[in-house]
Formats: sequence, C-alpha cells, structure tokens
Amino acid sequence: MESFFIKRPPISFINKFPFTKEAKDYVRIMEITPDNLLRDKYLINECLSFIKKLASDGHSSVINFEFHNIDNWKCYALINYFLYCIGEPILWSRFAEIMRQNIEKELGDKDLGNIIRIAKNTFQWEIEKIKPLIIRKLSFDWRLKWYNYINVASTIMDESWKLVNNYIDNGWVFLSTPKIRRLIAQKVRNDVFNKSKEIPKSIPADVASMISEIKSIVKEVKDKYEKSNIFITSERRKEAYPPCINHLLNKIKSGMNLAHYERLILVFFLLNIGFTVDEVLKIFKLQPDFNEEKTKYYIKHAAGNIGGRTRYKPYNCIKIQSFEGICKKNDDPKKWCTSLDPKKQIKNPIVYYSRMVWLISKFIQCPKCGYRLSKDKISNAKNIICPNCNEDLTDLIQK
Amino acid sequence: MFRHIKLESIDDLKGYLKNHIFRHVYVSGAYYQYPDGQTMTQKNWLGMDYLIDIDCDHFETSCKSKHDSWQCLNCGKNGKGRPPKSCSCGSSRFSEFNWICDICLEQSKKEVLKFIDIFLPSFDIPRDEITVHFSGNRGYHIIIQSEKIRHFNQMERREFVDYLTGAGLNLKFHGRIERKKYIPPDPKERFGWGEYIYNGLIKLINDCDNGSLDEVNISTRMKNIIINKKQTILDELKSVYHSVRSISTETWSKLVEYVKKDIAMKLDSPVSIDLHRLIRFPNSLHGKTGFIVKEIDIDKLEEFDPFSDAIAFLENAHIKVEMMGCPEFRIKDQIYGPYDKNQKIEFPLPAAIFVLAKEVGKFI
Repeated sequence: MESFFIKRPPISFINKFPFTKEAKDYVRIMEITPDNLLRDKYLINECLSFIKKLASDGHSSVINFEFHNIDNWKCYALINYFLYCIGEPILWSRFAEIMRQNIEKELGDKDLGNIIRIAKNTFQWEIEKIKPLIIRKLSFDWRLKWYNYINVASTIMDESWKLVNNYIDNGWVFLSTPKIRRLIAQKVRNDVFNKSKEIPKSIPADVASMISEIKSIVKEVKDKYEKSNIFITSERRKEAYPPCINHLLNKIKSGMNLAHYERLILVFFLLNIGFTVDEVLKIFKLQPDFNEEKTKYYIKHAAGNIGGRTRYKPYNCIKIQSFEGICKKNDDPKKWCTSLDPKKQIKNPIVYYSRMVWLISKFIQCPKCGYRLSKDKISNAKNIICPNCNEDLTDLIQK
Repeated sequence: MFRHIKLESIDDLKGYLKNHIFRHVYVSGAYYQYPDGQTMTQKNWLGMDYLIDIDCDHFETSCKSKHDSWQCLNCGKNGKGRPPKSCSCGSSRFSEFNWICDICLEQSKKEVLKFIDIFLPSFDIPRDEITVHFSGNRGYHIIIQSEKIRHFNQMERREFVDYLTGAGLNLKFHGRIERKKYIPPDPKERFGWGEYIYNGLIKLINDCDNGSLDEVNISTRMKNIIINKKQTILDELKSVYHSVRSISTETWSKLVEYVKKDIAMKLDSPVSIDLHRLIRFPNSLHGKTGFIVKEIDIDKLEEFDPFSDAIAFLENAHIKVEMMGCPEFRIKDQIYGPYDKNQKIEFPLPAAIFVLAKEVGKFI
C-alpha cells in the first residue's frame, strides 16, 4: 500500500492541492519561477480579478470563483505572490479561509490516499489508518500523535476539539475521517495566514497600477470598518476619558512616577481606544525613569505586536478598584461611575469612554444650564439658542 | 539582578557564582541562539522546555489555617489561613504570611505523582525526558525536555495544561448523559479522561469503608447504600455494558464531579504557558529557605523528604537567633517551635539558615 504513495502524483492532485509538498516539488522540477508566471497576461488578470473581488466583497464572494482554462496550481502560486506584494493581513486571512473551505470540500470521505499523502508528506504528521473503533455510532478510523493534533486543534474554538474532550492513548488521539479532513483544511488555513507575517515583496512594475488599485480597495474597506468601530477611530476624544484615566494622565503631566499597575491600566486603555505604540510611548516620555527601549518593548507586548501576540483588554473597574487610589468614581461629572442603576453602571473604563464619545457626537451641551441639545435637531439657522436658558450657542457649534 | 548572562562551561559558572553572592539563582527554561542578547528579539528564541510548577499555594490544605496568616493593608485587621476576597473594610489588599509544613509539601508531591501515574501513560513522553525537582520551598517542578514539545507555541502549551487541569472538560464526551444526569463511560470510551474518571470511581468506591466518601456532597443515606452494596456496585461498574442500578443517576453525577476535581492537577498555569520562563537553577539554594533545589529520582519520589533530603548544611555548627515569631517547623527529625517574638534561640546551622532565610529571625 505504501508504494502507492511514493508514486509521483498526477497533475490533478497538484491542481486540487496546490499547497502540498508534491506541488512545490513539481514547480521546482519544472523550474517555474514568478518571472515565468508573470509573462502570462491572462493568468495575471485572472489572479488579480480574484484578489480584487476578495478585497471588495470578502471570502464568501469568491468561494465558487472559477479560473477558466488555467491550471489551478499556477493561480495559487501567483495569488500567493501578489498577496506577498500587497502585504495586507486582511487579504491573507480571507484567502486562508477560502483555502480551508475548498480543501475540506476536495478531500472526500473516500479520499483516504490523499489524506495520508498530505498528512505525511506535506505536514510530516505521525498518522495511522486504524481498524475502525465504533463509539456511540461514530467511527474512529484514524490515530494521530497528540503533538500534531494540538498544533492545529488548538486554533479551532470548539469544545469538541479540545484535547481534554478527545480519546487519547499512549500519545495517539483517535479521530474520525471528517475530523481528519477538517484538521488538514485548518492546517492549510493556518499556514496560509502565517504568511501574512512575512515581509512584503517588492511590486513588479507591470502590475503596479492593479496592485495599487487593490490596496486602495482594502483601505476603503478598512476605513469603513474603522468608522463603524468607535474604539478604533483615530479621532480620539480626551474629553471622553473616565476619571481614573484622567487621574493617571494628570499624574504623568505633573511628572509623578506611576506604579507598575498604573502604567498597565493606562497602556491597556490607550491601546484599546486606538493609540499607536509610538503615541503611547510619547505619553510616557515624561516619566522620571523613562527608558525608550524598555518602554517601547512593554507597550509592544501589551499591543500584541511581540511576545505571546495577545492584545490585552483594559482592566475592568473591579480590578482597578482593587488597586488603592486609582478609581476616582466620586470625581465623575456624569455620576455613571457611582450609579446603582444597572443600565447606567460602568464596568470598564472603555464603556465610559465609548458612551461619552457617543454623547459628544450626538449632542451639544449648553455651558450655562447643562441642557443637552441633539445635533440632529439643530437647523441650519445662523443663530442657535439654548431652548432652556436662551444662551447663544452659535459660537460653540461652529467651534 | 543580573540577567541575560551566557556562561559557556561549568568552570565559568562556578567562577561566576563564587565572584557574586546571589540569594537566588535561575536558569532560562527557553533556548536561545544568543542567550546574552539584551532583548528577546536579539536572543532569537529557539524553543522552551515544558515546565509544570506545583506550588502548595495553589490548593487548599488543612494546615493553612494553622500556619498561614494575613493582614489587611487598609485597616490592619488580621486572621489565620488565606486572606478573604475582601476585608470587612472593603479593601482587597493584604499582606500574607505563608509557611511550609509536611502536609503542604506532601500534597504538592501527590500532584507530581498524579502526573506520573495518571496522565503520563496517555502520552508517549519517555521518562528520561522528564525531570522532577523539589523547588526548595513550597513545591515541585516537573520539566519536560522533549524535542516534540520544545517548539510548542503558547496555544499548544495552553491546550496541554488544560488537559492536565481538566479545563474545558465536558463529561458528555466521556460517558453517557441520561435524563440530564451523568453515567460513567462504557469500556470502549475508556481513553484519556474517560479512563481516569472510571478508575477514580472504582478507587473511590473501593475505599468507601475508609471514609473516602466523606468529602462527596451526597446524603448519608446514599453513603450507607454505597458502603453496604459496595461489591455489587463494583461488579456492575466492571461489567462490559454496565447498568448500575444500585445508585441513582444524580448520585453518579456527584461522584463523578468529585472524582474529576480530585484528578485535575493543581498547578500554576501561566508558568506552563510562558515561552521565556526562568526556573531555579538545579542544586542551587532557595533564598527563602536555604534548602537545595534538588533533582529527585522519579522512582524514589514517594520516599523523598524535603525537610531532610534537601538540607545543605551540617548540624555541627550553631547560631544564635532572635525570633520574630513563627509556627513550628521540622528539620530532619527535630521539631522546632512554635516561637514567639523576641525569643532568643541557638539553632543548629540548617534550622538557623531556615529561619533567617524565611525572615522570621535575625542574628544576634
């Protein structure tokens, strides 16, 4: 049986599974380089149209995208090449998801030879086909070493994939054929997405205009997303900060040294409202013990740019209150921090901030009587008067 | 603190330790291409051993209420045992006083034995890739030096730690749910946690005469039924397609839940997940006890006595110490204390080093 797998795979295998070792070997043996592929105008156009659609409409729009009269492996190679040039993680992530879905579809239930070939040759998994083990009407036809299993299963967020909920014996995890198919597809997805971490390639002159068009589409998509997400907006409003954050910023401004946990609270908050690493760094420049390299390292860590790649969420109010003297709920002009009403209560400084930003964007407040006037109701009249105290608000609105 | 140090030979290490007097000595659990790089990027991470840190601080023991104590940093209120979540004054900031005794360290050792006896057979990790160290203070370290595991990322490490602690375990994958109640796994499902739970149940019921059911939240009537029908229940449980009629499904659920909690390892998860963790240097002295961070032969783990086998100093020298108050402690066969504040005691060297390192006494 093993000799069957040693045979050179047919081109149909390479077209179906262009990510495999066999496909890479084929490309190497045939001495195909990006330059060869970039001579084919039709191929270039097809691949760029695919990426353009991927950028504008998302992965679901291209799941059934068909390349006419071209080898699939060529498209895969060139799409990868272009994605390297564009260097946008969002495109890699969408392409990875398409690959996952396609591979799962292509690996049929009876396609056992291909499962073994891919698992062993491409991923170097320790995998064995076993005599079916029937448990609760489910057939477990495979066993895979636990370290190969968790490499992929740990990226699938479902309890049935957790190692603790699977059958394991002497290092082997027992799996059904659908689960093995999913694991292979997920592994391809992860590998494709990991390519987004690589440094972008330089863009060939011939396709520069098309690539720049794709980049502008991606930018539009991102802008649209950012506008819909209040935390990521670049227009950060200092007047919306909760009292605890204002307290910490005032401490910095006055040159006082912040404790370790005070720094964490501030860094996590600022990063989560859209500050960049360099912007946060600037804020800490006033710290008496400021060390640019060290501080930058810690901020990058908190931002998930290095280390465990976890982007830390801001501390919630309970946690902040556990540190003495930081929570300034009594200084809150809105009285949200001290409210007993569950609808008004603040559980996290970010909630305070987003609620304030929303208020500021929707209303203006009369400085004299505090009356809130909806911006939607302000007419184009030249003079705006507070309906409560008749104060002239024209200057305030223009400002 | 001296960090980012690369030493190329044992002689270099000896020389370095002789020239600098350190209270604590650590070694990186991670492998780097350039260990002396000043930042993590410069070091170029190559891998990390899998560390399991078992510390008696992570589980409840009956002795804690006797020798541990706390004080509220806000109002000064104090008490025995572990600090509450928050003080009656509202503050949740406490200073803690922790002590070690035979009970705590025996409990820590049981966790190591659990790993070796229960979990290890499910994995194909050779014994010679595993080392166990007494930490020198409150517990033990298990270090897995395996090529297969060394390159695990944090998610993979978390998955393994979740397996050991039973985090995310759903019993429906390891047994039968009938009328929303749990029945232990069939023989075919006895792999991994299904097997641990099954074996744990057999042991629990087997030992029921000796009070093993005392901590399980079931009625006295049920306990009596289990004790009286022990053999029938065990026979039913061991049958191929068991249908245990002697115990209600609700009682089964409670028994299983108890067994699950008992089997789950109590360890310091962040240590296992970390990719850059430092570990105490084997055979160095723990700066808070003066005990040796000692490697233990796994086969002799049960006999290991930390208060005797990890003592570094000879007893022929004596030192006079003024005590600040501390619970009793044992060094080899000798029990010392408890001591009150201002008591002046002449201790043999190992006991003197212990109280000085624990900072419950000072030289006079």
